[in-house]
Amino acid sequence: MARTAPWWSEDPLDWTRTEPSTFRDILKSAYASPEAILRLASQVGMLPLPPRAGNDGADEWTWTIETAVAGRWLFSLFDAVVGDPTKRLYHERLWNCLTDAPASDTADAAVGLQTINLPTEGLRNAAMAVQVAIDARRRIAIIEIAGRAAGTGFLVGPDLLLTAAHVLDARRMPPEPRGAVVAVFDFVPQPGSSPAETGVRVRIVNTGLVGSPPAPNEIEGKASDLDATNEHLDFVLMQLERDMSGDETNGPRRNFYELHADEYAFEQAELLHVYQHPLGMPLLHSSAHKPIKVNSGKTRVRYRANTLPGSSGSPVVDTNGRLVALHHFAAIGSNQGVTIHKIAASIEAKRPLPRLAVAERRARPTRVSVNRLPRTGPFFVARRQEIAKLNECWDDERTHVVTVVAWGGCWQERSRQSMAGTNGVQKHRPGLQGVCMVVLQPGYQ
Amino acid sequence: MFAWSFYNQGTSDKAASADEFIDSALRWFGTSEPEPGLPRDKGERLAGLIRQEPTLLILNGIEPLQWPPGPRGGQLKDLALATLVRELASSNSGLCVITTRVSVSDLASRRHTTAPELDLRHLSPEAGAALLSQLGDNKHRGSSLGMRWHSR
Repeated sequence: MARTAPWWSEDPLDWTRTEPSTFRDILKSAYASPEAILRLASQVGMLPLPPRAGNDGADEWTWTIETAVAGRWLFSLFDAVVGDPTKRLYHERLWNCLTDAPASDTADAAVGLQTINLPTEGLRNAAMAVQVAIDARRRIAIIEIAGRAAGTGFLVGPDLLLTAAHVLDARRMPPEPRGAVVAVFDFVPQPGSSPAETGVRVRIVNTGLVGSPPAPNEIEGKASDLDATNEHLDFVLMQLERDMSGDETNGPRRNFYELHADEYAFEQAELLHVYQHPLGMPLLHSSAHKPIKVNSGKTRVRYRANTLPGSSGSPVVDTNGRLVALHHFAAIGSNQGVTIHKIAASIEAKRPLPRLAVAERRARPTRVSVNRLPRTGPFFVARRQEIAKLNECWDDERTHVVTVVAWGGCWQERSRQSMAGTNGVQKHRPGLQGVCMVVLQPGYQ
Repeated sequence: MFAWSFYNQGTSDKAASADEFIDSALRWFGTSEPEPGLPRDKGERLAGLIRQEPTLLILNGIEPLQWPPGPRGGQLKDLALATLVRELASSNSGLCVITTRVSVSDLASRRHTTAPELDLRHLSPEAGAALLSQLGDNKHRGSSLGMRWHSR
Protein backbone atom coordinates (compact mmCIF):
# COMPACT_ATOMS: atom_id res chain seq x y z
CA MET A 1 0.00 0.00 0.00
CA ALA A 2 1.36 3.41 -0.88
CA ARG A 3 2.38 5.60 1.97
CA THR A 4 0.17 8.66 2.31
CA ALA A 5 2.32 11.72 2.76
CA PRO A 6 1.29 14.50 5.09
CA TRP A 7 -0.36 17.31 3.18
CA TRP A 8 2.33 19.83 4.02
CA SER A 9 5.06 17.71 2.43
CA GLU A 10 3.47 18.02 -1.01
CA ASP A 11 4.67 20.73 -3.34
CA PRO A 12 2.52 21.96 -4.96
CA LEU A 13 -0.13 21.53 -2.33
CA ASP A 14 -3.16 19.39 -3.07
CA TRP A 15 -6.00 21.74 -2.18
CA THR A 16 -8.56 19.00 -2.73
CA ARG A 17 -7.42 17.48 0.57
CA THR A 18 -9.31 18.57 3.65
CA GLU A 19 -6.37 19.48 5.85
CA PRO A 20 -4.80 22.37 3.87
CA SER A 21 -8.14 24.05 3.23
CA THR A 22 -9.10 23.65 6.89
CA PHE A 23 -5.71 25.00 7.91
CA ARG A 24 -6.27 27.97 5.62
CA ASP A 25 -9.82 28.56 6.91
CA ILE A 26 -8.62 28.63 10.49
CA LEU A 27 -5.83 31.07 9.66
CA LYS A 28 -8.30 33.15 7.70
CA SER A 29 -10.52 33.37 10.77
CA ALA A 30 -7.59 34.19 13.02
CA TYR A 31 -5.94 36.74 10.74
CA ALA A 32 -8.50 38.10 8.31
CA SER A 33 -6.85 41.28 7.09
CA PRO A 34 -4.09 41.30 4.48
CA GLU A 35 -2.04 43.49 6.79
CA ALA A 36 -2.15 40.88 9.56
CA ILE A 37 -1.07 38.18 7.12
CA LEU A 38 1.80 40.30 5.87
CA ARG A 39 2.91 40.99 9.41
CA LEU A 40 2.94 37.29 10.22
CA ALA A 41 4.66 36.34 6.97
CA SER A 42 7.42 38.87 7.44
CA GLN A 43 7.82 37.80 11.08
CA VAL A 44 8.97 34.37 9.89
CA GLY A 45 11.15 35.74 7.10
CA MET A 46 8.88 35.13 4.15
CA LEU A 47 8.67 37.58 1.32
CA PRO A 48 5.89 40.11 1.82
CA LEU A 49 2.71 39.51 -0.09
CA PRO A 50 1.42 42.43 -2.12
CA PRO A 51 -2.13 43.24 -0.97
CA ARG A 52 -4.94 42.55 -3.39
CA ALA A 53 -7.87 44.89 -3.60
CA GLY A 54 -11.31 43.60 -2.66
CA ASN A 55 -10.11 40.34 -1.26
CA ASP A 56 -11.30 38.91 2.03
CA GLY A 57 -8.06 37.19 2.91
CA ALA A 58 -8.58 33.73 1.43
CA ASP A 59 -6.33 34.24 -1.58
CA GLU A 60 -3.60 35.81 0.47
CA TRP A 61 -3.64 32.83 2.79
CA THR A 62 -3.55 30.40 -0.12
CA TRP A 63 -0.49 32.15 -1.46
CA THR A 64 1.10 32.40 1.98
CA ILE A 65 0.64 28.72 2.78
CA GLU A 66 1.90 27.63 -0.63
CA THR A 67 4.93 29.86 -0.24
CA ALA A 68 5.51 28.57 3.29
CA VAL A 69 5.37 24.96 2.15
CA ALA A 70 7.65 25.57 -0.82
CA GLY A 71 10.18 27.41 1.35
CA ARG A 72 9.82 25.11 4.39
CA TRP A 73 8.45 27.95 6.48
CA LEU A 74 5.20 26.26 7.42
CA PHE A 75 6.19 25.16 10.91
CA SER A 76 7.82 28.53 11.55
CA LEU A 77 4.54 30.09 10.54
CA PHE A 78 2.73 27.76 12.91
CA ASP A 79 5.17 28.67 15.69
CA ALA A 80 4.48 32.34 15.09
CA VAL A 81 0.73 31.79 15.43
CA VAL A 82 1.20 29.68 18.55
CA GLY A 83 3.33 32.49 19.94
CA ASP A 84 0.41 34.87 19.60
CA PRO A 85 -1.58 34.55 22.87
CA THR A 86 -4.52 36.50 21.43
CA LYS A 87 -5.15 33.60 19.02
CA ARG A 88 -5.10 30.85 21.62
CA LEU A 89 -8.55 29.73 20.50
CA TYR A 90 -7.13 28.59 17.17
CA HIS A 91 -3.97 26.84 18.32
CA GLU A 92 -5.37 23.39 18.99
CA ARG A 93 -7.26 23.19 15.72
CA LEU A 94 -4.26 24.29 13.72
CA TRP A 95 -2.21 21.64 15.47
CA ASN A 96 -4.83 19.03 14.59
CA CYS A 97 -4.50 19.97 10.93
CA LEU A 98 -0.79 19.26 11.08
CA THR A 99 -1.12 15.99 12.97
CA ASP A 100 -4.21 14.31 11.59
CA ALA A 101 -2.38 12.64 8.74
CA PRO A 102 -3.31 9.02 8.01
CA ALA A 103 -1.24 6.36 9.74
CA SER A 104 1.66 5.14 7.70
CA ASP A 105 1.85 1.66 6.32
CA THR A 106 4.30 -0.41 8.35
CA ALA A 107 5.45 -2.59 5.50
CA ASP A 108 6.25 0.37 3.29
CA ALA A 109 7.99 2.15 6.10
CA ALA A 110 10.42 -0.72 6.55
CA VAL A 111 11.79 -0.76 3.03
CA GLY A 112 13.36 1.71 0.65
CA LEU A 113 14.61 5.16 1.41
CA GLN A 114 13.77 6.12 4.92
CA THR A 115 13.03 9.64 5.90
CA ILE A 116 11.08 11.10 8.76
CA ASN A 117 8.20 12.66 6.89
CA LEU A 118 5.67 12.37 9.70
CA PRO A 119 7.39 13.66 12.84
CA THR A 120 4.12 13.69 14.77
CA GLU A 121 3.42 9.99 14.31
CA GLY A 122 2.27 8.33 17.52
CA LEU A 123 1.44 11.60 19.19
CA ARG A 124 -2.18 12.04 20.20
CA ASN A 125 -4.04 15.13 21.14
CA ALA A 126 -4.57 14.85 24.89
CA ALA A 127 -7.85 16.74 24.92
CA MET A 128 -9.30 14.47 22.27
CA ALA A 129 -8.14 11.36 24.13
CA VAL A 130 -9.96 12.63 27.20
CA GLN A 131 -13.07 13.21 25.11
CA VAL A 132 -12.98 9.59 23.93
CA ALA A 133 -13.09 8.48 27.58
CA ILE A 134 -15.84 10.97 28.45
CA ASP A 135 -17.96 9.69 25.56
CA ALA A 136 -17.51 6.14 26.84
CA ARG A 137 -18.45 7.10 30.38
CA ARG A 138 -21.63 8.82 29.22
CA ARG A 139 -22.84 6.28 26.65
CA ILE A 140 -22.15 2.93 28.30
CA ALA A 141 -24.50 1.15 30.68
CA ILE A 142 -24.64 -2.01 32.74
CA ILE A 143 -27.37 -4.33 31.52
CA GLU A 144 -29.33 -5.74 34.42
CA ILE A 145 -31.77 -8.62 34.12
CA ALA A 146 -34.11 -9.11 37.08
CA GLY A 147 -31.85 -6.92 39.19
CA ARG A 148 -28.61 -8.79 38.42
CA ALA A 149 -25.79 -7.49 36.24
CA ALA A 150 -25.62 -9.47 33.01
CA GLY A 151 -23.36 -7.51 30.69
CA THR A 152 -22.57 -4.19 29.09
CA GLY A 153 -24.39 -2.11 26.46
CA PHE A 154 -23.99 1.27 24.80
CA LEU A 155 -26.01 3.95 23.03
CA VAL A 156 -26.11 3.86 19.22
CA GLY A 157 -29.20 6.03 18.82
CA PRO A 158 -31.30 8.41 20.92
CA ASP A 159 -33.17 5.51 22.51
CA LEU A 160 -31.22 2.59 21.07
CA LEU A 161 -28.87 0.41 23.08
CA LEU A 162 -26.63 -2.21 21.49
CA THR A 163 -25.32 -5.26 23.29
CA ALA A 164 -24.31 -8.85 22.58
CA ALA A 165 -27.33 -11.08 21.99
CA HIS A 166 -26.11 -13.71 24.42
CA VAL A 167 -26.17 -11.19 27.26
CA LEU A 168 -29.97 -11.52 27.14
CA ASP A 169 -30.40 -14.98 25.65
CA ALA A 170 -27.85 -17.02 23.74
CA ARG A 171 -30.28 -19.38 22.03
CA ARG A 172 -33.37 -17.45 20.97
CA MET A 173 -33.80 -14.53 18.62
CA PRO A 174 -35.56 -12.33 19.50
CA PRO A 175 -34.16 -12.97 22.95
CA GLU A 176 -36.33 -14.03 25.88
CA PRO A 177 -34.57 -12.64 28.96
CA ARG A 178 -35.55 -14.06 32.33
CA GLY A 179 -36.90 -10.90 33.84
CA ALA A 180 -37.16 -7.15 33.33
CA VAL A 181 -34.17 -5.60 31.57
CA VAL A 182 -32.79 -2.28 32.79
CA ALA A 183 -29.84 -0.19 31.56
CA VAL A 184 -27.87 1.59 34.28
CA PHE A 185 -25.90 4.57 32.98
CA ASP A 186 -23.22 6.42 34.96
CA PHE A 187 -22.42 3.39 37.09
CA VAL A 188 -19.36 4.91 38.69
CA PRO A 189 -18.64 5.04 42.44
CA GLN A 190 -20.48 7.86 44.17
CA PRO A 191 -19.77 8.66 47.83
CA GLY A 192 -22.86 8.12 49.97
CA SER A 193 -24.59 5.88 47.41
CA SER A 194 -24.80 2.11 47.49
CA PRO A 195 -24.35 0.29 44.18
CA ALA A 196 -28.10 -0.32 44.04
CA GLU A 197 -28.70 3.43 44.19
CA THR A 198 -25.89 4.43 41.85
CA GLY A 199 -26.42 5.53 38.27
CA VAL A 200 -29.32 6.46 36.04
CA ARG A 201 -31.69 3.53 35.57
CA VAL A 202 -33.64 3.32 32.32
CA ARG A 203 -36.12 0.56 31.54
CA ILE A 204 -35.79 -1.28 28.25
CA VAL A 205 -39.15 -1.54 26.50
CA ASN A 206 -38.11 -3.69 23.55
CA THR A 207 -35.34 -6.25 23.87
CA GLY A 208 -35.29 -7.36 20.25
CA LEU A 209 -35.70 -4.62 17.66
CA VAL A 210 -33.06 -6.23 15.46
CA GLY A 211 -30.61 -8.97 16.30
CA SER A 212 -28.50 -11.90 15.30
CA PRO A 213 -27.55 -14.94 17.40
CA PRO A 214 -24.02 -16.06 18.20
CA ALA A 215 -22.40 -18.88 16.23
CA PRO A 216 -23.13 -22.44 17.44
CA ASN A 217 -19.61 -22.95 18.85
CA GLU A 218 -19.85 -19.69 20.70
CA ILE A 219 -23.17 -20.75 22.23
CA GLU A 220 -21.58 -23.97 23.46
CA GLY A 221 -18.73 -21.97 24.91
CA LYS A 222 -16.23 -24.45 23.47
CA ALA A 223 -14.38 -22.01 21.30
CA SER A 224 -15.00 -18.77 19.56
CA ASP A 225 -16.04 -19.24 15.97
CA LEU A 226 -13.67 -17.07 14.05
CA ASP A 227 -15.31 -18.02 10.79
CA ALA A 228 -18.80 -17.02 11.89
CA THR A 229 -21.05 -15.96 9.03
CA ASN A 230 -23.16 -12.85 8.59
CA GLU A 231 -26.07 -14.77 10.15
CA HIS A 232 -24.22 -15.10 13.47
CA LEU A 233 -23.23 -11.63 14.57
CA ASP A 234 -24.21 -11.97 18.24
CA PHE A 235 -25.87 -8.60 18.69
CA VAL A 236 -29.23 -7.24 19.68
CA LEU A 237 -30.55 -3.71 19.34
CA MET A 238 -32.83 -2.70 22.20
CA GLN A 239 -35.16 0.22 22.73
CA LEU A 240 -34.99 2.32 25.88
CA GLU A 241 -38.11 3.84 27.38
CA ARG A 242 -36.85 7.34 26.64
CA ASP A 243 -34.40 9.34 24.58
CA MET A 244 -31.06 9.37 26.41
CA SER A 245 -28.91 11.12 23.79
CA GLY A 246 -29.72 14.61 25.05
CA ASP A 247 -29.70 13.63 28.73
CA GLU A 248 -27.39 15.83 30.81
CA THR A 249 -27.83 14.12 34.18
CA ASN A 250 -24.43 13.87 35.87
CA GLY A 251 -22.54 15.37 32.93
CA PRO A 252 -22.54 16.59 29.34
CA ARG A 253 -25.02 15.47 26.70
CA ARG A 254 -24.58 11.76 26.10
CA ASN A 255 -25.04 11.68 22.33
CA PHE A 256 -24.42 8.18 20.94
CA TYR A 257 -21.90 6.11 18.98
CA GLU A 258 -22.23 6.10 15.22
CA LEU A 259 -22.70 2.86 13.32
CA HIS A 260 -20.24 3.14 10.46
CA ALA A 261 -21.22 0.88 7.59
CA ASP A 262 -17.86 1.20 5.88
CA GLU A 263 -15.23 -1.37 6.75
CA TYR A 264 -12.62 -0.39 9.31
CA ALA A 265 -8.91 -0.91 8.59
CA PHE A 266 -8.13 -3.00 11.68
CA GLU A 267 -4.73 -3.94 10.33
CA GLN A 268 -3.65 -0.30 10.58
CA ALA A 269 -5.00 0.28 14.07
CA GLU A 270 -2.26 0.84 16.64
CA LEU A 271 -4.46 0.55 19.68
CA LEU A 272 -8.09 -0.17 20.55
CA HIS A 273 -9.98 0.48 23.77
CA VAL A 274 -12.54 -1.78 25.42
CA TYR A 275 -14.76 0.13 27.87
CA GLN A 276 -16.64 -2.37 29.97
CA HIS A 277 -18.58 -3.31 33.11
CA PRO A 278 -17.07 -6.74 33.95
CA LEU A 279 -18.62 -8.62 36.87
CA GLY A 280 -21.06 -5.76 37.41
CA MET A 281 -18.20 -3.47 38.38
CA PRO A 282 -18.02 0.27 37.67
CA LEU A 283 -16.85 1.26 34.20
CA LEU A 284 -13.37 -0.10 33.48
CA HIS A 285 -11.02 0.34 30.58
CA SER A 286 -8.68 -2.11 28.90
CA SER A 287 -6.32 -1.47 26.00
CA ALA A 288 -6.05 -3.84 23.06
CA HIS A 289 -2.68 -3.78 21.35
CA LYS A 290 -1.39 -5.29 18.14
CA PRO A 291 -1.70 -7.80 16.61
CA ILE A 292 -5.31 -7.10 15.71
CA LYS A 293 -6.63 -9.68 13.28
CA VAL A 294 -9.84 -9.90 11.28
CA ASN A 295 -11.27 -13.14 9.87
CA SER A 296 -11.75 -13.66 6.16
CA GLY A 297 -15.49 -13.03 6.37
CA LYS A 298 -14.83 -9.73 8.19
CA THR A 299 -17.34 -10.71 10.87
CA ARG A 300 -14.92 -11.10 13.77
CA VAL A 301 -11.86 -9.29 15.06
CA ARG A 302 -9.35 -10.59 17.59
CA TYR A 303 -7.23 -8.54 19.95
CA ARG A 304 -5.35 -8.94 23.20
CA ALA A 305 -7.06 -7.17 26.07
CA ASN A 306 -8.18 -7.89 29.62
CA THR A 307 -11.87 -8.75 29.84
CA LEU A 308 -14.07 -10.81 32.17
CA PRO A 309 -17.61 -12.15 32.28
CA GLY A 310 -19.91 -9.16 32.00
CA SER A 311 -17.64 -7.47 29.47
CA SER A 312 -19.78 -8.87 26.66
CA GLY A 313 -21.62 -6.12 24.84
CA SER A 314 -18.87 -3.56 25.44
CA PRO A 315 -17.90 -1.09 22.74
CA VAL A 316 -14.45 -1.43 21.19
CA VAL A 317 -13.33 1.99 20.00
CA ASP A 318 -10.18 3.23 18.33
CA THR A 319 -7.99 6.09 19.53
CA ASN A 320 -10.21 8.58 17.74
CA GLY A 321 -13.31 7.30 19.51
CA ARG A 322 -14.73 5.56 16.48
CA LEU A 323 -16.83 2.50 17.34
CA VAL A 324 -15.23 -0.43 15.51
CA ALA A 325 -16.45 -3.62 17.23
CA LEU A 326 -18.77 -5.12 19.81
CA HIS A 327 -16.85 -7.19 22.34
CA HIS A 328 -18.46 -10.58 22.92
CA PHE A 329 -16.03 -13.43 23.57
CA ALA A 330 -12.85 -14.41 25.35
CA ALA A 331 -10.90 -16.78 23.15
CA ILE A 332 -7.77 -18.63 24.20
CA GLY A 333 -4.94 -16.14 24.30
CA SER A 334 -7.00 -13.34 22.86
CA ASN A 335 -10.39 -11.67 22.90
CA GLN A 336 -12.89 -11.35 20.16
CA GLY A 337 -15.39 -8.78 18.91
CA VAL A 338 -17.97 -8.55 16.17
CA THR A 339 -17.17 -5.94 13.53
CA ILE A 340 -19.47 -2.93 13.58
CA HIS A 341 -19.78 -2.54 9.82
CA LYS A 342 -21.36 -6.00 9.66
CA ILE A 343 -23.78 -5.12 12.44
CA ALA A 344 -24.63 -1.82 10.71
CA ALA A 345 -25.38 -3.68 7.48
CA SER A 346 -27.58 -6.15 9.33
CA ILE A 347 -29.55 -3.35 10.99
CA GLU A 348 -29.86 -1.48 7.71
CA ALA A 349 -31.34 -4.57 6.03
CA LYS A 350 -34.10 -4.66 8.62
CA ARG A 351 -35.17 -1.03 8.55
CA PRO A 352 -37.43 0.71 9.29
CA LEU A 353 -37.08 0.39 13.02
CA PRO A 354 -40.15 0.87 15.19
CA ARG A 355 -40.72 4.47 16.11
CA LEU A 356 -39.99 5.90 19.52
CA ALA A 357 -42.37 4.54 22.09
CA VAL A 358 -43.03 8.00 23.47
CA ALA A 359 -43.31 9.78 20.14
CA GLU A 360 -45.70 12.69 20.06
CA ARG A 361 -46.51 14.97 17.22
CA ARG A 362 -44.25 17.93 17.44
CA ALA A 363 -45.70 21.38 17.87
CA ARG A 364 -46.60 23.17 14.66
CA PRO A 365 -44.02 25.87 13.83
CA THR A 366 -45.19 29.39 14.49
CA ARG A 367 -42.43 31.38 12.76
CA VAL A 368 -41.88 30.70 9.09
CA SER A 369 -39.16 31.80 6.67
CA VAL A 370 -39.42 30.28 3.20
CA ASN A 371 -38.61 33.20 0.95
CA ARG A 372 -35.25 31.72 -0.02
CA LEU A 373 -36.92 28.74 -1.65
CA PRO A 374 -37.42 28.95 -5.40
CA ARG A 375 -40.91 29.61 -6.69
CA THR A 376 -42.93 26.54 -7.48
CA GLY A 377 -46.24 25.90 -9.11
CA PRO A 378 -49.48 26.27 -7.18
CA PHE A 379 -50.20 22.55 -7.11
CA PHE A 380 -48.46 19.33 -6.27
CA VAL A 381 -48.68 16.14 -8.25
CA ALA A 382 -48.21 12.60 -6.96
CA ARG A 383 -45.45 11.95 -4.39
CA ARG A 384 -48.02 10.78 -1.88
CA GLN A 385 -45.75 8.05 -0.51
CA GLU A 386 -42.86 10.44 -0.14
CA ILE A 387 -45.01 13.03 1.62
CA ALA A 388 -46.35 10.35 3.94
CA LYS A 389 -42.78 9.31 4.68
CA LEU A 390 -41.79 12.90 5.47
CA ASN A 391 -44.78 13.20 7.79
CA GLU A 392 -43.65 10.01 9.52
CA CYS A 393 -40.21 11.50 9.97
CA TRP A 394 -41.74 14.63 11.47
CA ASP A 395 -43.77 12.54 13.88
CA ASP A 396 -40.89 10.28 14.85
CA GLU A 397 -38.73 11.95 17.46
CA ARG A 398 -35.89 9.59 16.68
CA THR A 399 -35.55 11.00 13.18
CA HIS A 400 -33.49 14.18 13.28
CA VAL A 401 -32.46 14.63 9.66
CA VAL A 402 -33.97 13.16 6.51
CA THR A 403 -32.21 13.40 3.17
CA VAL A 404 -34.22 13.26 -0.03
CA VAL A 405 -31.93 12.11 -2.81
CA ALA A 406 -32.94 12.42 -6.43
CA TRP A 407 -30.77 12.38 -9.46
CA GLY A 408 -31.48 15.73 -11.03
CA GLY A 409 -30.53 16.83 -14.48
CA CYS A 410 -31.99 13.77 -16.11
CA TRP A 411 -35.09 15.85 -16.61
CA GLN A 412 -33.38 17.72 -19.36
CA GLU A 413 -31.38 14.85 -20.77
CA ARG A 414 -34.17 12.38 -20.85
CA SER A 415 -36.68 14.89 -21.96
CA ARG A 416 -34.59 15.47 -25.03
CA GLN A 417 -34.25 11.80 -25.73
CA SER A 418 -37.56 10.29 -24.87
CA MET A 419 -40.03 12.81 -23.54
CA ALA A 420 -40.81 14.70 -26.67
CA GLY A 421 -44.10 15.91 -25.32
CA THR A 422 -42.70 17.18 -22.10
CA ASN A 423 -39.81 18.77 -23.88
CA GLY A 424 -42.32 20.71 -25.93
CA VAL A 425 -43.89 22.08 -22.81
CA GLN A 426 -40.49 23.14 -21.57
CA LYS A 427 -39.91 25.15 -24.68
CA HIS A 428 -43.16 26.98 -24.29
CA ARG A 429 -42.90 27.40 -20.55
CA PRO A 430 -39.30 27.47 -19.42
CA GLY A 431 -40.40 28.27 -15.89
CA LEU A 432 -42.28 25.03 -15.73
CA GLN A 433 -39.13 23.14 -14.90
CA GLY A 434 -39.26 24.55 -11.42
CA VAL A 435 -42.57 22.92 -10.71
CA CYS A 436 -40.96 19.52 -10.81
CA MET A 437 -37.32 20.18 -10.12
CA VAL A 438 -37.45 22.49 -7.19
CA VAL A 439 -39.76 20.80 -4.76
CA LEU A 440 -38.13 17.41 -4.69
CA GLN A 441 -36.07 17.59 -7.85
CA PRO A 442 -37.21 14.34 -9.38
CA GLY A 443 -35.79 12.81 -12.48
CA TYR A 444 -38.22 12.06 -15.25
CA GLN A 445 -38.49 8.96 -17.29
CA MET B 1 -39.72 26.77 10.03
CA PHE B 2 -36.68 28.00 8.15
CA ALA B 3 -36.00 27.10 4.53
CA TRP B 4 -33.02 27.87 2.32
CA SER B 5 -32.10 26.90 -1.20
CA PHE B 6 -28.54 26.43 -2.39
CA TYR B 7 -29.70 25.29 -5.76
CA ASN B 8 -28.60 28.36 -7.74
CA GLN B 9 -25.06 28.04 -6.43
CA GLY B 10 -22.27 26.34 -8.27
CA THR B 11 -23.71 27.30 -11.64
CA SER B 12 -21.38 30.23 -12.07
CA ASP B 13 -17.67 30.67 -11.51
CA LYS B 14 -18.42 31.81 -7.98
CA ALA B 15 -17.43 29.19 -5.44
CA ALA B 16 -20.34 27.67 -3.56
CA SER B 17 -20.48 28.73 0.06
CA ALA B 18 -22.79 28.35 3.02
CA ASP B 19 -21.61 31.60 4.64
CA GLU B 20 -24.70 33.58 3.70
CA PHE B 21 -27.00 30.85 4.89
CA ILE B 22 -25.16 30.43 8.19
CA ASP B 23 -25.15 34.16 8.92
CA SER B 24 -28.80 34.60 7.93
CA ALA B 25 -29.88 31.60 9.98
CA LEU B 26 -27.90 32.74 13.01
CA ARG B 27 -29.69 36.09 12.82
CA TRP B 28 -33.11 34.51 12.27
CA PHE B 29 -32.72 32.10 15.14
CA GLY B 30 -31.72 34.74 17.59
CA THR B 31 -28.20 36.09 17.23
CA SER B 32 -28.44 39.82 16.60
CA GLU B 33 -25.00 40.01 15.02
CA PRO B 34 -23.20 36.77 14.19
CA GLU B 35 -19.85 36.85 15.95
CA PRO B 36 -16.76 36.03 13.94
CA GLY B 37 -15.41 32.59 14.60
CA LEU B 38 -14.35 29.34 13.11
CA PRO B 39 -16.79 27.67 10.72
CA ARG B 40 -17.12 24.73 13.09
CA ASP B 41 -18.03 27.03 15.98
CA LYS B 42 -20.66 28.73 13.86
CA GLY B 43 -22.18 25.40 12.89
CA GLU B 44 -22.30 24.30 16.52
CA ARG B 45 -23.78 27.62 17.62
CA LEU B 46 -26.48 27.48 14.96
CA ALA B 47 -27.36 23.88 15.84
CA GLY B 48 -27.71 24.93 19.48
CA LEU B 49 -30.11 27.72 18.53
CA ILE B 50 -32.15 25.45 16.25
CA ARG B 51 -32.48 22.84 18.98
CA GLN B 52 -34.02 25.30 21.42
CA GLU B 53 -37.49 24.75 19.98
CA PRO B 54 -38.98 22.25 17.52
CA THR B 55 -37.92 23.53 14.12
CA LEU B 56 -38.47 22.36 10.58
CA LEU B 57 -35.26 23.26 8.74
CA ILE B 58 -35.28 22.74 4.97
CA LEU B 59 -31.99 22.79 3.06
CA ASN B 60 -32.86 22.58 -0.60
CA GLY B 61 -30.42 21.51 -3.29
CA ILE B 62 -27.20 21.30 -1.31
CA GLU B 63 -25.30 19.45 -4.04
CA PRO B 64 -23.21 22.51 -5.01
CA LEU B 65 -21.75 22.27 -1.52
CA GLN B 66 -20.90 18.58 -1.83
CA TRP B 67 -17.89 16.90 -3.37
CA PRO B 68 -18.71 15.27 -6.69
CA PRO B 69 -18.47 11.47 -7.09
CA GLY B 70 -14.99 10.26 -6.19
CA PRO B 71 -13.03 9.42 -3.06
CA ARG B 72 -14.79 12.15 -1.10
CA GLY B 73 -18.00 12.00 -3.07
CA GLY B 74 -21.02 13.37 -1.22
CA GLN B 75 -19.07 14.99 1.61
CA LEU B 76 -20.06 18.52 2.48
CA LYS B 77 -17.32 20.95 1.53
CA ASP B 78 -18.39 23.70 3.90
CA LEU B 79 -17.23 23.01 7.44
CA ALA B 80 -19.93 25.10 9.11
CA LEU B 81 -22.71 23.37 7.20
CA ALA B 82 -21.16 19.95 7.78
CA THR B 83 -20.96 20.66 11.51
CA LEU B 84 -24.56 21.88 11.58
CA VAL B 85 -25.89 18.80 9.81
CA ARG B 86 -23.92 16.37 11.96
CA GLU B 87 -24.89 18.18 15.16
CA LEU B 88 -28.57 18.08 14.22
CA ALA B 89 -28.28 14.40 13.36
CA SER B 90 -27.01 13.86 16.90
CA SER B 91 -29.71 15.81 18.64
CA ASN B 92 -32.68 17.69 17.27
CA SER B 93 -36.08 18.41 18.73
CA GLY B 94 -37.41 19.15 15.24
CA LEU B 95 -36.55 17.88 11.79
CA CYS B 96 -34.06 18.91 9.13
CA VAL B 97 -35.06 18.00 5.57
CA ILE B 98 -32.27 18.01 3.00
CA THR B 99 -32.81 17.67 -0.74
CA THR B 100 -29.85 16.84 -2.92
CA ARG B 101 -28.76 14.90 -5.97
CA VAL B 102 -25.95 13.16 -4.11
CA SER B 103 -26.20 11.19 -0.89
CA VAL B 104 -24.66 13.14 2.02
CA SER B 105 -21.79 10.93 3.15
CA ASP B 106 -21.36 12.95 6.35
CA LEU B 107 -24.58 11.33 7.53
CA ALA B 108 -23.79 7.80 6.36
CA SER B 109 -23.03 6.45 9.83
CA ARG B 110 -26.36 7.75 11.17
CA ARG B 111 -28.50 6.52 8.31
CA HIS B 112 -29.54 3.52 10.39
CA THR B 113 -30.71 5.59 13.32
CA THR B 114 -31.45 9.32 13.24
CA ALA B 115 -30.77 10.36 9.65
CA PRO B 116 -32.54 8.14 7.13
CA GLU B 117 -32.35 8.68 3.43
CA LEU B 118 -35.26 8.73 1.02
CA ASP B 119 -34.49 7.89 -2.59
CA LEU B 120 -36.85 9.73 -4.84
CA ARG B 121 -38.01 7.65 -7.74
CA HIS B 122 -39.19 8.87 -11.09
CA LEU B 123 -42.69 10.20 -11.46
CA SER B 124 -45.04 7.68 -12.98
CA PRO B 125 -46.24 8.38 -16.53
CA GLU B 126 -49.71 8.94 -15.10
CA ALA B 127 -48.40 11.51 -12.65
CA GLY B 128 -46.47 13.21 -15.43
CA ALA B 129 -49.60 13.32 -17.52
CA ALA B 130 -51.58 14.71 -14.60
CA LEU B 131 -48.98 17.41 -14.13
CA LEU B 132 -49.16 18.43 -17.77
CA SER B 133 -52.91 18.35 -17.60
CA GLN B 134 -53.03 20.62 -14.61
CA LEU B 135 -50.73 22.98 -16.39
CA GLY B 136 -53.26 23.08 -19.21
CA ASP B 137 -51.08 21.34 -21.75
CA ASN B 138 -53.47 18.74 -23.05
CA LYS B 139 -51.63 18.65 -26.35
CA HIS B 140 -48.65 16.85 -24.86
CA ARG B 141 -50.48 14.90 -22.19
CA GLY B 142 -51.20 12.04 -24.55
CA SER B 143 -47.74 11.90 -25.96
CA SER B 144 -46.30 11.64 -22.47
CA LEU B 145 -48.34 8.56 -21.71
CA GLY B 146 -47.87 7.24 -25.20
CA MET B 147 -44.12 7.24 -24.85
CA ARG B 148 -44.34 4.97 -21.86
CA TRP B 149 -46.73 2.56 -23.48
CA HIS B 150 -44.54 2.19 -26.52
CA SER B 151 -41.57 1.44 -24.38
CA ARG B 152 -43.25 -1.48 -22.61
